Amino acid sequence: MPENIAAKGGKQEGQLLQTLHDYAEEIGNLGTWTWNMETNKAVYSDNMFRLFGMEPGEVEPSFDTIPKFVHPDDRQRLLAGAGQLKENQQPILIGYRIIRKDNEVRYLTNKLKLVRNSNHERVIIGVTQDVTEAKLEEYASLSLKEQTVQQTNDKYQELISSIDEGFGVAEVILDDKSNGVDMRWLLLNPQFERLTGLSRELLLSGKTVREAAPNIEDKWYDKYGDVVRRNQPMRFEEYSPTFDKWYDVYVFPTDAPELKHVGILFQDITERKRREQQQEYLLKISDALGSVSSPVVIEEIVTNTAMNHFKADRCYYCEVDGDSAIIRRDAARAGLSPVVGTYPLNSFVTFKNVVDEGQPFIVDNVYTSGMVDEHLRTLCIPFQIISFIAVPVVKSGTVVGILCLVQSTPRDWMQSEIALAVETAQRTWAAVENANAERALRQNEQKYRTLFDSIDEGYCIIQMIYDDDGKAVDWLYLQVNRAFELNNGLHDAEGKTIVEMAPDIEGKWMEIYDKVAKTGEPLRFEESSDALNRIFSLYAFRIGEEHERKVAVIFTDITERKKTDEALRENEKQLRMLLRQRDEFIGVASHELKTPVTVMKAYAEIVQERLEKLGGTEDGKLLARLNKQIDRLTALINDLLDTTKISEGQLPLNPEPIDLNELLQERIEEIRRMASHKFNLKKRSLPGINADRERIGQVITNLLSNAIKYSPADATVTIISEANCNTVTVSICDEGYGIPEEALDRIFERFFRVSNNAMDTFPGMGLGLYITAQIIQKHNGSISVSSKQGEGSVFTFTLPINTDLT
Amino acid sequence: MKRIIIVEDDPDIRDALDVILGSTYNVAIYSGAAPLLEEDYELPDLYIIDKQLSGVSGLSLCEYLKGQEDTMRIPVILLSASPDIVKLAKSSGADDALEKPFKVNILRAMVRYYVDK
Repeated sequence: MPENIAAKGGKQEGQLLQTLHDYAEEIGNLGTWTWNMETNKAVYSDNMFRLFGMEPGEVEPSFDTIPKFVHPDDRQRLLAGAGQLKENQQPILIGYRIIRKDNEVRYLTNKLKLVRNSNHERVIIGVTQDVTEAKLEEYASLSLKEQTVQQTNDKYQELISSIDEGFGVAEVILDDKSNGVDMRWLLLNPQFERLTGLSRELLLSGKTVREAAPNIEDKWYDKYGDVVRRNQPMRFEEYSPTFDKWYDVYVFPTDAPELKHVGILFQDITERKRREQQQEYLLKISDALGSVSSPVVIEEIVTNTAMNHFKADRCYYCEVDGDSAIIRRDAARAGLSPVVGTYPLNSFVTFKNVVDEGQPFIVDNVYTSGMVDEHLRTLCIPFQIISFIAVPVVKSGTVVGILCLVQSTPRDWMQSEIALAVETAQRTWAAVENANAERALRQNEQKYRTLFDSIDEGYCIIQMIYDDDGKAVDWLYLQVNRAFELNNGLHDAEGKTIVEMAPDIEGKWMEIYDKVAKTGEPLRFEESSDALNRIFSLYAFRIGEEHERKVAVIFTDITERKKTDEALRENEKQLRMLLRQRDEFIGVASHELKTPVTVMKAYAEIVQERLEKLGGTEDGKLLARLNKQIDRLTALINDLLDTTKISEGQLPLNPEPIDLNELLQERIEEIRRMASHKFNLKKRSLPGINADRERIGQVITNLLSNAIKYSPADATVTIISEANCNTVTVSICDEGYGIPEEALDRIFERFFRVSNNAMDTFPGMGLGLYITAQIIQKHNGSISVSSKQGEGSVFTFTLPINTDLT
Repeated sequence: MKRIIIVEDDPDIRDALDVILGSTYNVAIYSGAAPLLEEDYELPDLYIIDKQLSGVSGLSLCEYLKGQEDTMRIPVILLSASPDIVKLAKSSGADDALEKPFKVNILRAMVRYYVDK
């Protein structure tokens, strides 16, 4: 580029160059200008105007044009830079910001050179470049780095802020013996405040901790000093009486050792610690109370244990009863006089307060506490009660007692201690309640004991005894009732074994009880024992778990009953034999009876025939009557025979296919000849059935005979036959006198006869319906009767169509 | 005159049967089965045998007769006091049976029927 482009150059050449120059400026974001220091005349290229946000030629450029736009902060630099310009020296570079008219900030660099023109005037030639894009990019990347650093920082901050643990970095101050004596916090997270209750602002104000919080215990400085001195991290759990808190603390050296910086990470483990300690203490109480059942002993144990745990000088339980506070016993350090006695609640402000408020009453020092009046003080001091906790024992919202922990010196009771005292009081109450419940249970047991003693059955609980091979070989009587001995003859059995008392006891007993003990399945059985010379009815069941091997046995001596049973059975056998003999006799007798009846009948008929041949005489009629009676006698004998057969189970059937309607017709005709009654057969078409024709015929005849026998001579007997699904049914209905209701149930019984005055006119052996029912039964059928006195009876029998009668 | 052999151990029944049938038929009466098994005798046109004989029973006798060549075609009527005589009679090969006590005219009819057969 020529040195004075504006000053030199011909028109034509200049034109071309101007064009090229314009392009170059545009591409390079450049502006060129000159300023004549002599004339204060400035010339700007078109693009120069544009760099400043102006239209070319918008203003007449002068020395003041540029500074007017320059950012105020950069103006000085620009002028200073310009002031350094010297003739014929290397161009200088000045960077500055401008603010355009539209307030847009742009970054520009200027290369300036001082030259003389042809008139020897000093002219500054400047090339100005807009480097905003580059600058912004540079700034952008710069700010990214800063951001990353910031973010890292933030993350770290966030991390230490967000952790649950308290965290801080502190400088530990050592004394000349390198022991930690103080510290200064450099960094603290918000949790610190929460966990310690100390102000972060105060601690980070540059003060040492001793200055800011003078009551912090020395032990903390010791520990932090150790960490600095050893340059080793340390973890420990420590209690701070100041905060009444337990902390789990991790301290580690950080930064350069000579800085004595430590990182401290800690958390509040007070709850856990308290729980652990309480657990331990309460466990101790529970252990002590476990085997105790008397409220008195419970009180004693609790007061002693609590006294030791709290390192108190005295502990007692005070029962509130109406207006009195009763102290029955107290646990106290040796040398203290007891406080046992009854105190009026009204004059004892402590107790009254506790009872009224239901809240613990705490005194750190009776000499100084505002809660203690002169009266209470004079009460306390003789007993060396200088500080104390009194907590209420509440039952169903009412204070029933007070647990007191007493110190002979002033004592700063901690919240945790108060809470534990409350817990102790509650536990004690629960234990006392339990003890009372247990006592009730024992009374209950006593009741059961009484019950078991009062029953007639023997009752015992036994424990099985096994040999080395696991075989049951004996048992021990743990408990027996009063009736025990009465039922098995074993005297004073409790605590003894069966083998000890009855060495010959049978092995079967071991097996039985062993099984019950092992399976847990109760067993009811009868068994005899030769060793005990008795027969028992027993019920054995397991008590408790299998491993306890305990069996309870309820039993009765049934030896006598068995003997009676035996005798009864013998009697029954005898009776059966007699009955059989009777039936046999009836069988033989009736059979034998038939012979003379046969002969009688033969002669009677012959004589009747002969008399009839001679012409119907009176004698012939008499003989006919005789014949009829012989027939009746025959029928009776047959009934007797049938009965004996039935009772011997020997009623033989000869089944064959029969037509029941035909049989009915036949038997009706037979009866009709001997009776004056009307017979009405209403038959339905029936399938053939398999039955003994003779026996079923006997049934029909029997029922028809009864129907005419028990109804007036002009009455109608209706016979109905019908078929059902698998059965046929025949009903024989009469219009007779009916059967009394109470007799209906027994009418089919053997030898049963309806006995009332009206029936006396109808003799019989009570076998007809019995035989009838037996025959039907033998056919796998059924028979029933319904009757109404004065209206008649209906006998209905049903026979199966297909049945196996073999 | 047709010949009937009656085997009956009860003398009263024997007499009665003789009274009923003796005037019409040539009646030979035995009190037991033994003579019929052991001895020769004039064969009848009909046997009337009581089921319950002492010694060899009427059923056995009936079976014997029905098993012999010369007597197997001669009809046999069994008499018995048991109501199930009909069934027993068939199993022993008897032609008919009559339950005691019987009606005189039924016995007569039955005898007539078998003798004339």
